[in-house]
Amino acid sequence: MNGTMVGVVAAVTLVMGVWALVTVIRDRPMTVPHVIGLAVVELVVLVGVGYAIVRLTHGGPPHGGLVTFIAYLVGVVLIPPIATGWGLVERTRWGPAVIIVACVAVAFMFLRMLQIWQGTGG
Amino acid sequence: MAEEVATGSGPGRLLVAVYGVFAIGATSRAAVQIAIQFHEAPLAYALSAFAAVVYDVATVTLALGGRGSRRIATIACTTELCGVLAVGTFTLVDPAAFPDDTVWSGFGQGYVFIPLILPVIGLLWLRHTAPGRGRIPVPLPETLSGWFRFAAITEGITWIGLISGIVVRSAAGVDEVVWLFGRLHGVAFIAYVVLTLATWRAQRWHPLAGLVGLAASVVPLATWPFEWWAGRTGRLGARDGTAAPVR
Repeated sequence: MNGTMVGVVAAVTLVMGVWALVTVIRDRPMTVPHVIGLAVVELVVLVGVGYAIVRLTHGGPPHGGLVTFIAYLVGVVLIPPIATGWGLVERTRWGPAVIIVACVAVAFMFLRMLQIWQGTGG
Repeated sequence: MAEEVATGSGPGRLLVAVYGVFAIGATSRAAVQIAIQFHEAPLAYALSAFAAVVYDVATVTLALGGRGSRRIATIACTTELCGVLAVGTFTLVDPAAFPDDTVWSGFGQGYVFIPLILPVIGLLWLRHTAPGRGRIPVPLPETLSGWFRFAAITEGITWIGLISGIVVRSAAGVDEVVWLFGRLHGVAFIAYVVLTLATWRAQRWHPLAGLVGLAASVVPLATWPFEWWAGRTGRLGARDGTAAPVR
């Protein structure tokens, strides 16, 4: 894990989050373009996780604990698909609101993974 | 919104999503802590596991939103609120007892205080979506006698915790359970004594009944039979909270 990867994930989730926020403000439900957007987020997440796995196999374990790091790797992959399902069922503005939660969670989890990797932070 | 609203749809969908994130986070965190480093901070990690269960239950019951689920969700949110308040206070008073942070440490300051705000919003949402709106969904008493009963039962529960803690300490050498329930019991004891005096006065008990009530606080689990007896003999008033006849 490194800062650039976290930066890319943060940028993508920020764009998706802002888009979802606009949808919430416009009082529209989640639509197919949102699903495609979440698919892009998931793709970037998978790239990030793949990169982390490569780094894990070609170097020492993360300073903040290997098991915790792997738990984050597994968890973060699950967030976008679950959010897609949970938000799509809701046919009001609260569907895209779920996307915002998912984007914040994904960005936060990548930040935590960076901290665990470097052994910094709580 | 006079009709019953499902707790998992509308704004509730957002609430369940946030609860879901905390459930996943707390559960995996607790699993990791208990699996690889439980001996380092047994109390903190036991609390982590407890918090995880509370979040899991709240998430599932809020998502389902049936009548039974609603009741369980109310209890889960109340437990969560009490937990974050209790753990938050303890971590401020005695930081050394928590060598490793839990979700509820410092009132959830590591998670921008969401753990503190979430149960409040959850309870308000349960109230908002309740079939008979306006009624307090919190399983807390509404009358003085109700509070006396609550204190009497809670005092007994902390006795059980304290006794279990002593057993755990002698069996496993773990002090933390006694530490936790010792403090909880202290709070419950004071609350029981104060509420006994207040109820004694409000219900105009015979002095002997009042003294027996006070004495019950120092005997393990004696508050339970006293509360039962007081209720049976009409010393806690009718259910609507009106005063009992003088006796």
